[in-house]
Amino acid sequence: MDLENLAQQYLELVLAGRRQLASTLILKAVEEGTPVKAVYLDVFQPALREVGRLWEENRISIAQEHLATAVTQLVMSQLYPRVFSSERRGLALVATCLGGELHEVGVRMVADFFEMGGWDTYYLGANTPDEAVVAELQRVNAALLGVSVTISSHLARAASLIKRVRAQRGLERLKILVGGLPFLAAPELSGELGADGTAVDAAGAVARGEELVR
Amino acid sequence: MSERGGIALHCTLDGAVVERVCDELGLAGLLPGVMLASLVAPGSERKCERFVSEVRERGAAFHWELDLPVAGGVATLSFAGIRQEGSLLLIGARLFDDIFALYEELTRVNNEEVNLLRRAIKERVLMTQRGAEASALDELSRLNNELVNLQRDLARQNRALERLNEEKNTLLGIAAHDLRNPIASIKGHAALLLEAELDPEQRRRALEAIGRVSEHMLSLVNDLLDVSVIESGRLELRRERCDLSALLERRVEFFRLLGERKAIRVVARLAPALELAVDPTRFEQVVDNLISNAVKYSPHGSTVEVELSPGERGAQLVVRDHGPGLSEEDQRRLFGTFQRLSAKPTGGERSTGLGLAITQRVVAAHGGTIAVASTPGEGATFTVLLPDAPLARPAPTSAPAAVAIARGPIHVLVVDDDEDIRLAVELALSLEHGFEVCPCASLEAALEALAQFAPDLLLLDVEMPGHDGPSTLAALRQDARSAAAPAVFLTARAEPERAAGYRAAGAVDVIPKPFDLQTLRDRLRASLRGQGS
Repeated sequence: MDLENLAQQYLELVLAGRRQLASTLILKAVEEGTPVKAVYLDVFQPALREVGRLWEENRISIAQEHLATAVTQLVMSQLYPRVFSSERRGLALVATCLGGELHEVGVRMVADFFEMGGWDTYYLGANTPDEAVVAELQRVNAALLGVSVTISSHLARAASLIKRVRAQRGLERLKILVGGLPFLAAPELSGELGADGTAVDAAGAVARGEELVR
Repeated sequence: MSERGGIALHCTLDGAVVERVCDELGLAGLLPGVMLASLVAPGSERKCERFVSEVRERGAAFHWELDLPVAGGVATLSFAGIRQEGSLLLIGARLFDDIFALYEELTRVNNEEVNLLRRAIKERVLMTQRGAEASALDELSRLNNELVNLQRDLARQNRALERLNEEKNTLLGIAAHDLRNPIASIKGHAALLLEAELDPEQRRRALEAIGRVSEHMLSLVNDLLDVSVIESGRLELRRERCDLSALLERRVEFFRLLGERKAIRVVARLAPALELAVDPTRFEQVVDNLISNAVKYSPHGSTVEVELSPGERGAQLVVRDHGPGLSEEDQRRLFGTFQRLSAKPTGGERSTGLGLAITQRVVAAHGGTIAVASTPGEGATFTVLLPDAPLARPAPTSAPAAVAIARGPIHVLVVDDDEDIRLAVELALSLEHGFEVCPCASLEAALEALAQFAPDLLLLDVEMPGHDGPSTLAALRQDARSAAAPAVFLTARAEPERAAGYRAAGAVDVIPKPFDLQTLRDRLRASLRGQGS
């Protein structure tokens, strides 16, 4: 089955709330050789974007949107044994998200991509306090911080988090990547916030992250 | 209408009455410009202000109970309100449902404004309900996210544990393999010694081979124990102020001699008198590992450089060689356990494959870092950054009461149930002048021997059937003839915590088994001088 087809079927199943079938569909595809990265990028991502669009058009309820996201998270967690199996390279990423609960899934996908690239990743839940982020960065001796910003009104908070992290002794060499909707429209915002770079998707984020820590 | 009754007011955003839409209560003082809060019953003013601000800020509010003075007392009214452009519409009735009844009443007088209000309120009610639903969903999502994050952590840890287990299995396999070879060699040489007619020179060579191979086995076992102690997080540093420069000076001197065999020059540039709070034994292990590796992998006639300088908040140690260097792949695997890299020792030296793994962990336990930089073909540079640390408590004072240096032979009472050990000690000490040994297999035998033998020193095994070291010592202390002789413990388990316990029980030194003969002699002499280490 091609990925577009897979994404379409998956979307239909999650909108109908049929989580068992949705999960079987994906696990079977992976079993048959579809790479996990392709499932993330070409199935989960377009399916969830479509869910968001349908909600905006008032064609599905907010409950359906939440359910679709929850089902996707469940299926993702079933893929974790494959995500966490690559060789470690001694590089650590801490990722966090500023904004709504529904958007956490995106930045976790990014973290999983880093994990598949041999990084050790530590995902902090949405809206973790700045101090806790700093503490985690120090605890795991992180090389990279990933900050996802879901809506423009949270840009100021991202700026203050970055400023706080930059001011911390011992974190001078840390690189910071930002991502999320506001940066798709205006990538130059990343520099203005004091970050080292941004990317349009999970694969791009890993490429940029590798460049930064090289 | 007195039992029901309600009131509808048009107010400013601050809650000042603009006009009375309906008043079935006959509220006193209800005039334009009066603040609603001043009309309610005493005690309800602040609540009334909050109600007004809730309507103003949120656009609508429901179910606010306010007390109003009415003829004959106080009535509790349920208030609702909505904000419309620049003003507020506030409605109170005895019961919340009455608010709607009140609308009906007002609708009958066809108050268009009230019709608008009704529609608006209905919309608000619906939206508020939707809002509640959405926030419940958000809460569910939050919970779900937390669960997924936990699951993610678990999957990660699970994988890490699997990896650790694999590593342990590999380690065990390699250790077994690495120990089998030297054992075969010892066995072969022993058989040769027993069975073949060897001339003295051949015998000496066979014994030397056994000695050499045992030495290697011992270092492998020690390294393995180190790794297991470190990996299990039981590495305890005994920090004290230590002159790193002097320590390095000593070790560099040692490796200079070793390097001479391969015509390798060990050059040192050491900042003078650099003091840091480190565990000297562990730090020496780091130094030894790095310099011995450099010497081991350096070609004949090359130079090994050792530099010590003050770091930003501690010290920086650099060990540089001009050997074959390390590929990127090797550099990545360098600090793992049993990593066989592509570089080969240049003088046929042996390696346990654990040295750098231990080194890195010891440095990390000190809060420091170790890094390697290398270009294949151009040698490798190891850089250790060691931070200073405050001492938790003053360094332990040295051994108790010095004993006058004995003149004439030193009488050593040995108590050990292991015949081989008794024999080894006896041989070791009798090979050199200055020791006289009385070997005993048990405490009872020792007490008996005291009749003929006045000991200057007690050398006691720690694990004997029926008696451990401390209880053996306590029994000997009861006897006047052995009450004052310093005691040294022999043990296969000389980890720092245990050794400290033995010292507390009265031992001036704790010598780990197996021991080499020279060490035994040196430490017994030192113990007698009151300098147990």
